[in-house]
This record gives sequence, C-alpha cells and structure tokens, in this order.
Amino acid sequence: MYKLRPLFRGIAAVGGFFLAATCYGSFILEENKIMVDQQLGTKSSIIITEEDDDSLFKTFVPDADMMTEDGKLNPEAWDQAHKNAAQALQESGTVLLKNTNNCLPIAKTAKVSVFGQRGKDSNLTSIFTDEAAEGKFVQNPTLKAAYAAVRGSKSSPGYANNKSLTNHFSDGEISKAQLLEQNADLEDSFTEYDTAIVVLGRQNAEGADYQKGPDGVAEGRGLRNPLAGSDVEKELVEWVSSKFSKVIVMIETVSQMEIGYIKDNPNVQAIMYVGLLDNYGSSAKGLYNILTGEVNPSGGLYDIYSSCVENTPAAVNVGLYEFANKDDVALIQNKALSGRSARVSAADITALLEQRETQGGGRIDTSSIGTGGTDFGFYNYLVEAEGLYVGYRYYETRYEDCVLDQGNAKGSKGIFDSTGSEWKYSEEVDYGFGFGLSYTTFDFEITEPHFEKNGKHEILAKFDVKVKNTGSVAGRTPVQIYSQSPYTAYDKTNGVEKAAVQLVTFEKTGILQPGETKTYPVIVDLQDVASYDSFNKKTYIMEESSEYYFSVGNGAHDALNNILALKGKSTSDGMDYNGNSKAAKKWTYQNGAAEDGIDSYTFAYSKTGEQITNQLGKVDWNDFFDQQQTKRLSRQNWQETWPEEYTNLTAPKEMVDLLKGKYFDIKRNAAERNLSEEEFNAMWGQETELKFSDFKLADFNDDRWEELLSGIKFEDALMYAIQSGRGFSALNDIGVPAGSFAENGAGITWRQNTEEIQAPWKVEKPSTGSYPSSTVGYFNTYAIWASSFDRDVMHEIGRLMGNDAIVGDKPIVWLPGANTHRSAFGGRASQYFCEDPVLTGICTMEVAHGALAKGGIITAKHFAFNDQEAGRSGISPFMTEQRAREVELRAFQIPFEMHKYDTPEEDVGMMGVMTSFSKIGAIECTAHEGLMTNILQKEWGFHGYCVSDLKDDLDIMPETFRAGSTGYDWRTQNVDVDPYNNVEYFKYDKDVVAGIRSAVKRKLWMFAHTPLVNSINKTTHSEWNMTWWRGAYIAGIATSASLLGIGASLYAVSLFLKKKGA
Amino acid sequence: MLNLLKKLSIGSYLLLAGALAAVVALIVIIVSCSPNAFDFWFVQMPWVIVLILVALVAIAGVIFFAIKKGDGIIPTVLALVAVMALVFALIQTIEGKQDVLGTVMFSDLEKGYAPAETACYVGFTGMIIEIVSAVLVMASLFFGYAKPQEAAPAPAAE
Repeated sequence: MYKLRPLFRGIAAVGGFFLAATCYGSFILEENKIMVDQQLGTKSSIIITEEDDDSLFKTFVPDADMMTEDGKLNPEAWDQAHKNAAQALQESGTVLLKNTNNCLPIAKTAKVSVFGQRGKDSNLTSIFTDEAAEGKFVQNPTLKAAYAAVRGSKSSPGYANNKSLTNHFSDGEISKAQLLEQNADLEDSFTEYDTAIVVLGRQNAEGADYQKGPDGVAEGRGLRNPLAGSDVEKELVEWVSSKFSKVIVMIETVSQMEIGYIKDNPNVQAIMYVGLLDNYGSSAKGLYNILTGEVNPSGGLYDIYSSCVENTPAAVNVGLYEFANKDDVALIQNKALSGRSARVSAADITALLEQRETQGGGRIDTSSIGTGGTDFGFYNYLVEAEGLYVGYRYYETRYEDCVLDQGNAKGSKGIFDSTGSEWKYSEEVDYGFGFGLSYTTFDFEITEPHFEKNGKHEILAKFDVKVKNTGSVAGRTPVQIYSQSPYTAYDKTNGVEKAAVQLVTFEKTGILQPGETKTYPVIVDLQDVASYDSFNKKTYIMEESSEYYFSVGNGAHDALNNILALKGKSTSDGMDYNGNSKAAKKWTYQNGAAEDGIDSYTFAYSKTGEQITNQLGKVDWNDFFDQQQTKRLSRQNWQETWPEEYTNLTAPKEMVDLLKGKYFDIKRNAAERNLSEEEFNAMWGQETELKFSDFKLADFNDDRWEELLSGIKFEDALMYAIQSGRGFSALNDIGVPAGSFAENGAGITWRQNTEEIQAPWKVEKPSTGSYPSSTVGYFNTYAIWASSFDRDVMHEIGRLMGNDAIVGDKPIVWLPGANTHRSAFGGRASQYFCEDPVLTGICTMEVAHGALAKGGIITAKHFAFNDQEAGRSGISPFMTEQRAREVELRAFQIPFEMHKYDTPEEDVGMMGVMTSFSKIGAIECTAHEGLMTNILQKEWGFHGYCVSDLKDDLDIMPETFRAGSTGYDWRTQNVDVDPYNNVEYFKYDKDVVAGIRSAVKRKLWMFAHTPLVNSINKTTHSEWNMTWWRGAYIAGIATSASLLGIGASLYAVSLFLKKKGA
Repeated sequence: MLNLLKKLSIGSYLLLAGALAAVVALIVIIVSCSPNAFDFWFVQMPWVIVLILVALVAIAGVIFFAIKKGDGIIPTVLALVAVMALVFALIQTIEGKQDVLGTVMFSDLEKGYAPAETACYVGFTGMIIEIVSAVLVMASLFFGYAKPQEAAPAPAAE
C-alpha cells in the first residue's frame, strides 16, 4: 500500500484543487446570479403562484399569427414573421439615388460581376450564386476567385472600420492591380458577366468616431477624410465603369460618405443606398426584389449626403477639446467608482463617502485611491456653434438665402467644393435629405390648409396631399411634409433662428398604379411649427400676420424649391431647378393671442398643461459670461457668424462648480437632517394587504400606490431603485417578481421552456434551426428604418418586439437610439436613425407603440445630446436652448407624448428611456432636474423607467434620484458587496428619499404594464430555485470534498502502515 | 548539479514545469493590468503575487527536501501548499478580472475599447496558464519527487 501513496496524495490534491475551485465558483455564481440567469437562460429565483385563477396569462398574450391552433408558439411562423418584416423594411427603405438609361431594374437571370470587399463580405452574398437558382444572380466565378485569392484566409479583412482618435483609418479596399495580379485575363470574364455591382461602404462602432481631415487617415490611401473616396476606391469605380455597360454602385454604410465621384461618373448608371444588411438574408431578398423590379424602390435618404462631409458648420467643432484650466476641473475618476468594485476596496469607498460629506456633495476626487484614473470626459467640452443649422437645415437655409440674395449667403465661408468664390448648393451637396428615386414618377399637389383650434393651446393645420403616379409602373412614395417659418426682424433682434424647411410629418402611400391618384389627409400640430425663443420670450412662439408655408416634395430640397416657386423664384434667380408651386401653400398665422405680434402664449404650454419655459439653465457657453465669447451661427449673416473651432477654452468658476457636481444642497450631515427618523419610518416597511398583482395595468395616479410603496422596506426600495439593468430583483414583501431585459429585443429565446414558467404558449425548443437571440438582429440598420418613411413597417417591428417580450419573458428592450446625427463623424450613427428629429421621433414612436400593446417597454437611448463618441463619458456640449429643444429633444418628445395614439380615455407614451453619459451644458444629463423632471416628466408626461447608461455617475447617485432618474444599469448584483447599498447615506435627505420612492413607483408602474404581471396574483412570491448550475456546483463540492477526504485518509493510512511495518 | 538533478524523479520535473508556468502566468497577468497606465490593476493583484511567490517557494522546498531527504511527508505537504496557493491565486485573479471579463466577453459594454480588450484577453490567457501551472503541480503529486535511493552495497566478505 505504501507504494500507492503518490496516488493517494494525488487524489487528495485533485480533491483539494476542485474543492477550492467549486466553492469559489459557487460564490461567484451566487454573487452574479441575475447576470448568470441572463446569460444561461435560467432562473435562480422563481415566481411561485400558489393558487391558480382565471387571471393568469391573460393580460398579455402573443398574437395569433405566430401561434398554433392549440395556442402553442409556432417557431417557424414566429421566425418567418420577423423575416417578412425585415424584408418589407428593406423593400421600403432602400434608396435609389441615380438610375440613368433604365439601368435598373435588371433581369432576374442577370449575370453579375461583384466588386468591392463589402460585396464579398457582407450579408449581400446570399443573393449571388455560382449556378442559376431562383431568387439569385449568377456571379462571375473568375472575379470571385480573384477576390478570394487576394483576401487569402481572412474572412473579414478589417476594412472600413472607424478607429479611435489615436488611430488612422484605412479603407482597405482591394485594388484593380491586386485583382489583375491574380488573373491577368480577368477582364475577359466581364463579357459574359456584363452587369457590374460595386459595393462600397464604411462601418460604425460605439466609442470611436471618425477623425476629421487627413489627420485621421492612414498614409497612402489618398483620402481627404475617412469618409471620402480613397484612391483605390476611385480607381476601382473608374475601371469598372470603363469595362461594363451596366454599372450599379451600392452604398452600404450609415456614416454619410462622399460619393460625388460616383454620382458624376456618367458610366455609373445606378446608385443605391442599402443600409447595413441583416445577417439572416431578409434584407438581401428585399434588395433582390428591388434590383429585379419586383418591388419599386421608395426610400428617401436619411441624412443629407454633402460633397464633403466637412462642409457643414457642425463639423467645425468635432473631436476632443479640453478646458484650458483642466486642472481646476479635472476629477480623476477611478473606474472603481463607476461600479467596478473589484478594483477598489470597501474601505476606500467608505473614505470617499466621508470625503463627499465633508465637501458638501458633488463629485468625488478619487485620485487618492485605486490605480490610476479615467477622465470620463469631465474636462472635455463641445461648442455646438452651428445652432439650429445642423444637417439639411444648414444647406437648405443657406440655399434659400442665396436664391433670395440675403444674409451674405453666397460668401466664401463654408466653401469646400464650390467652384469660384461663391457658395453653391449644387456643388456642396450630392443628394439631399429625404431624396429618393423610383422606377416611376410622382406628382404632388397640396390643398389649402384649414385650422382647427382645440382649447387654448392646440391648433391643428389640416390639408390634403394628392399624389399621382405619373409613370408607367406601380410604386409607392413617401409623402414628406415640410414647413417654413418666416425669418423676421423680431427673430434677428432676439436670436431666434429659422430653418428654411423642416420636416413636420410624413406618411407613405400604398402601391399606386400608373395614372392612379390618391389623396392623403395630413394633420400638422402647429406646436411642431412654432419656434423656440431662448432669449426673450423663453418659450415657443408664432408670429402673427406673418407668412408661413407648408410644402411636399421629394426630400427637403425639393420641398424648398416648391416653396421658392410659390414665392415666384426660378432658375434665373439661382435655383438649381424650377419647383412646383402646386406642391406648396402659403398661409398666414392669425390667432389674436399676441400682444406685440409675437404669440408666446398659445404654444407655451405642453399637452400636460405645464408651462414651457427655459429649463436647461446655462446651456450655451455664452450664458456664463457678460460678453459673447463664442459665435452663434445665424442666417442674418452667414459670413460673420460662421463658427470658429473653439479650442482651449477656460471654464469660469461657476461652470467649474457645476462640472464638479454641485447641483443640489443635499443633506448628509446628521446635524442638518431634514427628514426625521419618525417621518422616515412612517414611509417604509408598513403592513399592507395590497400586492403588486392588484396593480395590473393600474393608472399612474391610482391612490393605492402610496400604500403599496409603504409596504416596502427602505433598503429593498433603495436596491430596487438602483438596479435598473441586467436584471431587476424581486420585492417579496409586496409580491413583485424579478424582471429582466433584453438590450436589443428578446428575439426568439426559449426561456418559456423553463419549468417555472407555465405559460400556455410554452413550446419545446426545436432541435434544428438557428434563430437570432436578439430581435434587432433580424433587421437592417436604423438608417434604413428612417429612409423607409414607413410608419407601418416600424409599427410591425414594434409589434414583433412586444411579442418577443412576452415569449422571451424580457419585457424591457433597450432600443432604439433616438439621438440625431450631428455630423458624419459620429461613431454611433448606426444606432441612431438620422439627422432629423421628427423622422427620428416618429420612427421611435411607432416602434414603441407597436411594442406597448404587447407589454414591450421600448427604452429609447441616449437621453440626450450624445452628439459624438469622443469624450462621451461626461463631455459638456454647449448649445442654445432653441437648438436643444428643436433638434435633440424633439426626437424624444414625439415618442414620449405619442399624441397620435392618445385617446380621451388614455394618455399613452413611451415608458422607458436611457440617459446618456453626456452632460448638457455643465450638468450631467442624468442629474439635470430641468431635463429629467421639468421637461421629461412635467412637460412631456413621462412616468416610466429611466435608466442611467452604465454607471459613470455613481458618485452623484443621490443627485440623480433627486433629479428624477429611476436607477442605474447596475451589474454588481450582490447587495452585501455593494458599496452604495448604504441606507444611512441616503435616508436623511427628504428630497433624495422622495426621489427614490418615485423611482420605485415609476418602475413598478412600468412593470405593471408588461408581461411580468402575466403570472402573478395575490399568492405570488419568489423562491430560491435549484438551477442546473446550482446542482452542478453542489455536486462538484461534494465530489471534490470526498476525493480530498479519501485521498488524504488513504495517504495517512499508507504512512501509518509503513511506519508500523518498519 | 547534474548529480542533484539525477536524484529527481518525474514528479519534480512536473513541479519545475509548474513553477515555470506560474512565473509566466504572473508576468502575463501583470501585463494584462498595464493598459492605460495600469488602469486595469486590481486590488487583489498583491495577493496574486504573494500566492504565486508562496507556490514558488513551496515548490523550491519540495525539490530541496526531495534531494536532501527523499520523498516523504514534507515534500507532500509543501506540494499541496503549492497547489492550494496556485488555486487561490487563480481565484484572486478571477475575482479581480471578473469586471473586465463581463464588460468585454459577456456584454458589449467595452467591446471595441482596446485597453479593456487587452486587459480581458491577456488576463484570460494568464488565468489559463495559472490553471496549467496548478494542474502540473497537482499532477506531480501522483509521482515520486526523488528516485529511490539505492541500497548501500553490502560489505564484501573477507
């Protein structure tokens, strides 16, 4: 036996090793159980409903089209419904930009030569085949082989990615020479495969902008900026266009690219904007149908495509700018305080909280602890001196001023590609916002508007738009309605800016047959036409007896040309083509509510009855100074007010205090408590008979909420308020089950198969088939959603997300991004729809409403002002309140107010929102009372769930609750190790306590309108559940402990016997 | 020296390989903390260093005693100490790295953020090497650390 002692001690060692590992593993799993559940699809605590009743699984039920006759989920039908919507989206959103010589459509049997890395790499490849097949084009095998040889074994060559500010962009496109090097006779193959498709594009990524100018570009590629055509791309287009009689260029991007060299190439007959195709082939199918003429393209461009992406005033100030007095502002924020508790000790946290009390609130300088800091953009700023003139608003307004010869518009400032010394629209813009061609043509006519006044504060303009298909094939078209407001002496005196056109609403026609005319009624709320007067009236205004216009057209530029035609202007005045005066109407605003010609009363109240006035505080850089420091672009004089690049600005003392988080006087010191122990105790932990199940679909103003809230212990309420992402803990005292969310929609998940969910639609997971784990994975990028101008298709996507929320048991969906594109350089453009707030807002509203009916909580992000990725974690963007309200905020206002779907019985609205990392002015958005409470809640009537993105503001958590946020995207789920789970720290400021109580109420109210209530009644409570991973670690601990015991015992015995034998 | 090594058995060689892996693991983990001026340093890192040093000292002790006194209870205990030290070092590494593993590998929060990705993937590599190190030391316990000493030749009969 002694000879076996190495075996025994080895067994003991193995046992010891695995015992330690499994014990620790179990600790880690339990600490992160909500996240583990999220990843593994398990439930570590389950909802137990002891007594069944008829109310269960009746509140939200999946739609019948995705179910079997016996009420089970039909996975194939479910999958197909998503794919159908994705295909419909592509067919509605693809934008035809150029089509000469009837290049398109092409034959279904066309033989094609596909050029460009993206043509080989993208999700487009599913419509190309090597042999003739239904629904596919036969592609040139010789060319395909040449590309494959150059690309080698790399499946994704890493081309066209945007890079961080310290890296240089390279397009990485394969050159003509590289292809010919593989096969010198390559061009011979072009004769048979005689239709060329060239696919070019750019990528986006979170956290990394494109860097403007040649500084951000790798050497030797010939790019003037990352979004311009490179030498290789230009040569490729030139080569292809010289060898083929049919050349189609597909633009696969979200960031606006400079495509003038393609547009101006006469041998390129067709250009299509296609978005970023989905991974499951639905977009490609839609595209095939458009290429072959099965479907007529009907999209309008989501952003303006200028000849140079730097020729917009917004591009003057893009990038990282640091305060000159950075040291005064800098708060070295250790990442530990952004929730990364693993990097800092509990003792450090305690010391920091004490420091915070000593300094009287605000941000904490954490440079004394941890291991180096991260600036989080605390000393970055951005002066958005372009004001209202962002996106098409700039180009179209300057164009009108050129035609009307006013405002010094023709001057040299802002010229990039215009020949000569005068600014020329047609040479600075390639394709306008909303522009898109069709295989047919349409004629628009607009009728005289009439006005309907509802109460004191709502005036609706109603008119019809007649749309006639004047071509020879059937097709659809967007009906884009724009307005123009007069730019008056009052505006000039008071710094009110007016864009020459702004989108106010849109519809999309059904399929119109050749020669068919249909009339579409349009309603415009004049609140959307009114302008925000930041400086004098400090509210929305309309100008009495002044001339306003409505117009319809193929994009913003066409609509403006129609207005100019109505004004009697033509090409002889400098217009690029003559407009259609029948497609525009002039009207005069006469309401009689103005004392001095300026009606600052009618539109000064929101739909909730709240008075609208300046709420963002000192939001413009100049607000901090007596004298104007930075320019504000004004159409009064384009040359004198053209922005400068504002570098190295010095933050004044008042701004520094705000940057350091000193917003509120929050009582933390025991001597200054403003909430007594008795008052506090009366608010929490009271006995109540009420349960959460009593609040299914309850009204927000239901009187019983207060009693329900009083039934919660404060420590539970605090954690429930804080935890707003990755999982929501249960509140057992009042029967609230744990909730969960899906960042991009639940997709088709199979959580309903877990034993504890007894939904009647439960179905076994299919053994075959691959389904996306997120709903959004089915669809093309948001830019295509916007380009579709198709409310119905977006509502359908929302409906699918709502159904996914029911079946996937994940009611909250963190999407879409409702920020607007400020410049082409923004890295996160693919998460946002477009540059226009109304188009963004309506897209978001339709998706949110579609989901809402099924209890899906669309949570739009990032509220607000995430205008670039550089410095995004805490950057200070400065702008006028007019710009903020008419651009960034309007995009969010529309889905929150959701007027279209309001009824006399119900005031509906989007129920979720995620705040941005960004500040507005010098104050964090998430802790900005004016933004979070006064605008979001009071003006727009938002009651729901408002999560702070990531955790960059944890050190100002009391301020955040005080301002109106409902919690954090919180990952550390173990309450015991949570440095902020500190009741004493929060409980003595009555405003903070009220904020926490409000946060809990709003989250519960939101959950009361989701499928979370499907499985609960009075008997519902949560219980610990034996998941498979718990079983695994328990078995592991038992086995390894046994091994350790047996091995050690045998080893000891062997030694003993040896000794005895000796 | 050669004579000393000749006294060692396969268990000792596995131990030495384990020690080498532990050193490599330590270096890799320190490197994984280095992006952004050691922004990804974690508070458990001193424990990781200490525990790996303890393991190395224990391994040295095993070799020392194996050479001097042959295989026995002291090398066994020291080897067990080395195994446990390496396991706890691994645990501390996971504890310290769990955040960045989560934000890069299990969510998209820091995907694409190069320093975090480096901290994550290099750190993950370090953990794998730590496991290899512990397994080697553990495996060594299944074998002897020193070759059995040959019996002294019997005195020749006169």
